[in-house]
Amino acid sequence: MLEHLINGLVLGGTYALVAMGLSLQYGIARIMNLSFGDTIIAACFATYILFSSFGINPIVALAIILPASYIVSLGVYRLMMEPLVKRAPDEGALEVDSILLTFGLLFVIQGCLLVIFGGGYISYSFMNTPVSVLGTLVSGNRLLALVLSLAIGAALVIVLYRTRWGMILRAVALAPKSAPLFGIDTDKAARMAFAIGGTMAATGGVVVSMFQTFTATTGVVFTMKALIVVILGGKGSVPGAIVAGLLLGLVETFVAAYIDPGLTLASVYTVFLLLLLVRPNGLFGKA
Amino acid sequence: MLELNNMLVRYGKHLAVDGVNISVEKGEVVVVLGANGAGKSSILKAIAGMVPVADGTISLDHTPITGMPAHQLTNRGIALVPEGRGIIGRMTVEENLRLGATPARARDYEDDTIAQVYDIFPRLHERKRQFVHTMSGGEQQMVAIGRAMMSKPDFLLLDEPSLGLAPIIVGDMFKALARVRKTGVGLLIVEQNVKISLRHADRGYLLEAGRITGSGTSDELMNDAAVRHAFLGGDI
Repeated sequence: MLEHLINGLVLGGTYALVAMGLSLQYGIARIMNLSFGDTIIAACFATYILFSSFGINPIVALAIILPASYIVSLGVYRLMMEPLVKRAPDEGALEVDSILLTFGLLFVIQGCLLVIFGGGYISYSFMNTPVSVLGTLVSGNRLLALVLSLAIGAALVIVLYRTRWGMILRAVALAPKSAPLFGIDTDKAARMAFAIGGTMAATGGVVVSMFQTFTATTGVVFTMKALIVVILGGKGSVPGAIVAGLLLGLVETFVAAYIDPGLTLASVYTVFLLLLLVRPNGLFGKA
Repeated sequence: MLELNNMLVRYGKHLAVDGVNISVEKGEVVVVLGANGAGKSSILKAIAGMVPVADGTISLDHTPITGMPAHQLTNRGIALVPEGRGIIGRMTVEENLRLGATPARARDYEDDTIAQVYDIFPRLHERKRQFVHTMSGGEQQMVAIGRAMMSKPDFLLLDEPSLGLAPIIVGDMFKALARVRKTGVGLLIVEQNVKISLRHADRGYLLEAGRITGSGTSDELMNDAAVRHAFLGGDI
């Protein structure tokens, strides 16, 4: 029971982490990023290579991958998204354009990964020794994953709610039309939000790769789950993403443990449907 | 000095503002009077960079600022309190005010300015932790004016600040604006509420269908037959 609870929180923590990233990209940059999960998987592979070929431990790898993913995401935004933002007559048009663009980008990233690494299942063994937590054995890498998710998620929440910079990002999410009157450069805010979102995805990738097997084609599963978490939590709500992410992780783990592992995805969609019937705007969404 | 020179604003084929000339000095209160749809809001939005200027120029102390993006204009000393107030309902009073000090010109004075805002609007100090969307219309208008003051503007543009407020609140608000003006800020107010706005303004312009059809000091306009006829229903 306790074992499943911890495993559920580990999984849920990573969901919450990546969903926060997607939420930033969608809520502030107004870009619906379908290649989000493939960014996660790319980071999984990067961690794997750094660990297995260069002997760099995933925590150190995080220090390399974090800034690298920020720069790459910023580049992707400048190169591919900005032309769309410039030409879009309204938000709806930008959403449709960004869906089409990132749908293509998904296959580019996936294709590159397939060419380089093939289609097989990949995993590596890092901190695989069991640790005793309240009498239950949990593998060390899962505990580390949970700690990292919590720490990075908390750091983002503090930045968003306690700094001017975070206040600016929230203002653009809440009132994009009024934000310029506050002296806010909304284009710059969108650029940064997209890049931070990409960085959160990459962070999620590093964390997930420590305890889960992955393949070049599992990105879409992460995109779907991150999307579900964002919608469940309420569009643009960071606390919502955290609660919904943890909820989803717990549901998946308990269904796999007590009912049938084959039903995890079905259980996710059931929770999704039921909650949306009751709260169409998500847990923390505004009506 | 803020100066509009033959400014045109166009939405598609519709000409909303048809070549207006308006000027405002620092420390002066100028009101633009006009009916609904006369183009009053468009004038303010164009100055603040929220809608494009089709032709003509806007200058600030003889430097052209036409076509600058809105966020840069706030750093040049232009602050707009738009229709609908333009504040963020799901943030607290204090957050809205502090966010108003985002322009570089205002950052260093943030704490002094916020004290000044709280001095003019003590109610905001009492409610600084309250979410703005839970406040009354008059209080929200205070937040909007306070937020604009936080950017340390030289010119404050107000789009129908009296709209939807009870008469007694409107009176309080104009008294507060008089204090803002004493700090050396120039106010450009567009209004339908002719009586009260003329009482608090130094000068005024009449706007009809996007054109300036008259101008003068407040006393002159108050006694002008055309103004009395068009806006004041004959008698005051």
